[in-house]
Amino acid sequence: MSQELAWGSLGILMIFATIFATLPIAGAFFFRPRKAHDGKESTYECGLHPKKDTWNQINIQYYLFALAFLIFSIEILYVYPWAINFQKLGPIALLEMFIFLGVLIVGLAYAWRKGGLEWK
Amino acid sequence: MEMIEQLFVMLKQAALALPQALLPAELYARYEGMLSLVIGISAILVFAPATMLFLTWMERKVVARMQKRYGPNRVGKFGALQPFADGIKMFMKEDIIPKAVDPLLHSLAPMVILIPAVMIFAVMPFGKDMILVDLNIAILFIMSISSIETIAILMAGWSSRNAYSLISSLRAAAQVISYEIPLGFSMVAVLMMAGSMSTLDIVLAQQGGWFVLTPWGFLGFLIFFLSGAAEVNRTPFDVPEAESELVAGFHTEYSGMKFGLFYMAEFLGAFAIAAFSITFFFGGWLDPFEPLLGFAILPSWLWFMLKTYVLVFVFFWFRGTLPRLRVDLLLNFAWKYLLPMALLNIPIAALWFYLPAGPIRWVAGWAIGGSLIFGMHQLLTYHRVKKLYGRYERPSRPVVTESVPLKS
Amino acid sequence: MKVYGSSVLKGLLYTLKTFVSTYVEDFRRKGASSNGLLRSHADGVVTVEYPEKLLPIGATYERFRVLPMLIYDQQESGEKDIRCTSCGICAKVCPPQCIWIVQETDENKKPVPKPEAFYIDTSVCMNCGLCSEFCPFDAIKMDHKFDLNTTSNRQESYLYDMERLLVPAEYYAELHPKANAAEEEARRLEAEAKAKKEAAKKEAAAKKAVEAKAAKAAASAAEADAPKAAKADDPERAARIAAAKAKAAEAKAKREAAKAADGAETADAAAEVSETSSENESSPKASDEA
Ligand code: SF4
Ligand code: SF4
Repeated sequence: MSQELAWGSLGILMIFATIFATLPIAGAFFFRPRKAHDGKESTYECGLHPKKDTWNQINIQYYLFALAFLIFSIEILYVYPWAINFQKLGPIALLEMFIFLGVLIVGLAYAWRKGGLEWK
Repeated sequence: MEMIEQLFVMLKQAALALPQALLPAELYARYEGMLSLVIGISAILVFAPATMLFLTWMERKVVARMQKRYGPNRVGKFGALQPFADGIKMFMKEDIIPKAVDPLLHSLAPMVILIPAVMIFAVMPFGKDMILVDLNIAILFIMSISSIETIAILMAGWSSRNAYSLISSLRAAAQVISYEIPLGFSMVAVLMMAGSMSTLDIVLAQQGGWFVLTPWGFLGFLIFFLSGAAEVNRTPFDVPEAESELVAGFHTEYSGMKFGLFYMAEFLGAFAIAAFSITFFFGGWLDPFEPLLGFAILPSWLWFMLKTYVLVFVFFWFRGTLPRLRVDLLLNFAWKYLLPMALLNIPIAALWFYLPAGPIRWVAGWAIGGSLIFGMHQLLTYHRVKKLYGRYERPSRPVVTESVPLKS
Repeated sequence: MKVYGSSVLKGLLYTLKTFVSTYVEDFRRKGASSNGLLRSHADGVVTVEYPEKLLPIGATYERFRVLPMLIYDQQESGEKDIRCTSCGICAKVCPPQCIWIVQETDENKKPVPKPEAFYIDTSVCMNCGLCSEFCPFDAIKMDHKFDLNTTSNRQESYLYDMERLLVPAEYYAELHPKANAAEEEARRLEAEAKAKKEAAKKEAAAKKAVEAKAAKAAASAAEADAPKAAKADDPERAARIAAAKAKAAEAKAKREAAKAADGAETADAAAEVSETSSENESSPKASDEA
């Protein structure tokens, strides 16, 4: 299977998947009851009336994790091509990869020591 | 045997016979690929909800038995029709959209979470000649498409305008992105040995022996499976859906079919993780006895399903056994345990590759690799446990040696 | 050497064992009716398939309690003698205040000790059993029926009136054999005591009559002595006073006697108590010394 065809197939699958995801909701539209009233349409949260709007700032901690994720997921992208060709490239490339991973580990150790991976 | 083996392929051929008879030959030749693709897609779209229905039933049964209950047993024999009853119920339920929510994002989120959950099946080799698209970068595709789930969860949590949903969705995002790192690194060893990112090639590379039997495969499998469980929010990593703290997590404000779609995506995700663990580490649809006996005992797709359901059972087994992790422990587990372990896996795989093939590789590989894994495990856990619980160490209780008078 | 994470495997093994054992147990019990006692938690599935199988909870646990019921004694004439006197104690103690009683009245609008209406809102009742604890007439007791679900109007079907609350005493005796026996015994003793008291009263009345005669004689004598005083002092009243005095004296004597007896008893008891307490005191000391 040529790769263009494969990606095209995936595109078609995506269209079908979208239909697949919409269909139940659309179908339920014709069957489900509609008895809306204020009490039902208020935010449930935990049963009580919400006290504050939740559309506001959130903990900075999440961004730290997102940053760490960004770094490492890009590293993964660099490691993958090497991994595929590992058998062809030979020991020199392995050594180089160890250097690369070493840098990675130093980064991890730095984040670890600085408490960047600590959930507070 | 051959017939059963090729059952689904033949079914597809049979389905193609009708347009072949109706359409002019030239036109048919032009659209044959397209038609067979549509048939394959339809098969997946039938397979996905069927799997989901079965899994809901199976989960309730398995967990019930682990807790000495019966589980669903009222609708149909062994409660087998329970998932259908639930499905109909969800279908007929009122779809409440609270006034405070962002209606567009709110309605879009369940679809956005379901689409990747279905699309991931495209690169899954269900059996011999049973893969929808043989993508040459299938692993990248899996990783990228499974992370769309995070966006859907964030959409659901943010649009719900509800404190618990928001916290839950943020936690889910933090969790999913944290576990994506070990998930990605755990596959590096597989790629090194298989030399390809195509799921089909990876399966075929295991004809000499399943990857899970090697030290790097074993460790890789554990990391892949555990971080996969976290990716799809299965217990014990279901912090985003922690009922005891977050009501129902990011889908608190959902009802009816929209809730059903979340549910479906979750189960499909669990199935996909189990299936890809099989594909990468347990030889996919390969018959383990074929090299010994010379003939296949069961058709390949049955082997695939059997193996996958064993792993799905393990998911349910976890659910029946393990309590939920606290959120900080959860993230620590990803960053400070799974990630170093996954990095360790790369040198182990390299070592395995450079050891001379034969029994010596198995002995030396397992000896060195196993001790490395064990040592690393002890180092990491010892560090964590000491740090976490060291300060909570209870003072040893004074031993009462003499009776205390009741009245002075 | 401690391997961290091994306890996870231990837990997993335990649940797997449970998983398998329930199937094994089911297979072994195949066909056997499980409508018996609670199965032990060590083997097999514990859940009882409720609507088909009911645990004989009442037989196992007599003091199991769901919802109050009113008890009546079946008279020979076929009449229901409701034990309740509509004293209202139960309604007062009921924590969620779900009992509502109307007292019966006779033709003259005078209340009689019978309930005319007796309602319990069972959707509010929390099955605490305080009503039955407090009822001085053993008139309200706790039932065993626990499957109360209803498909009709909840508001009405959960408001029990007297018709629905009334049960014969035999039913109660069957449900609570031990408690009923104890109560019966208590009632018998009470009745005996009452009979005794009545006999004593009769005796006292006879005595009084004799005394009254004597007093009358004395009074007539006094009248003869001082006829003027008779005008101011009604002879009958004097007789009554004399009788009352005599009775009071008698009662006093009785009380004193009782007191003396009581005193002796309490003294005995006190002695006992002090003995045991001294023992209690001494024992730790002894052990201390040891
Ligand atoms: S049930 Fe008992 S406590 Fe209640 S009113 Fe009747 S006699 Fe009194
Ligand atoms: S059982 Fe308790 S709650 Fe119910 S009626 Fe009696 S006192 Fe009231």
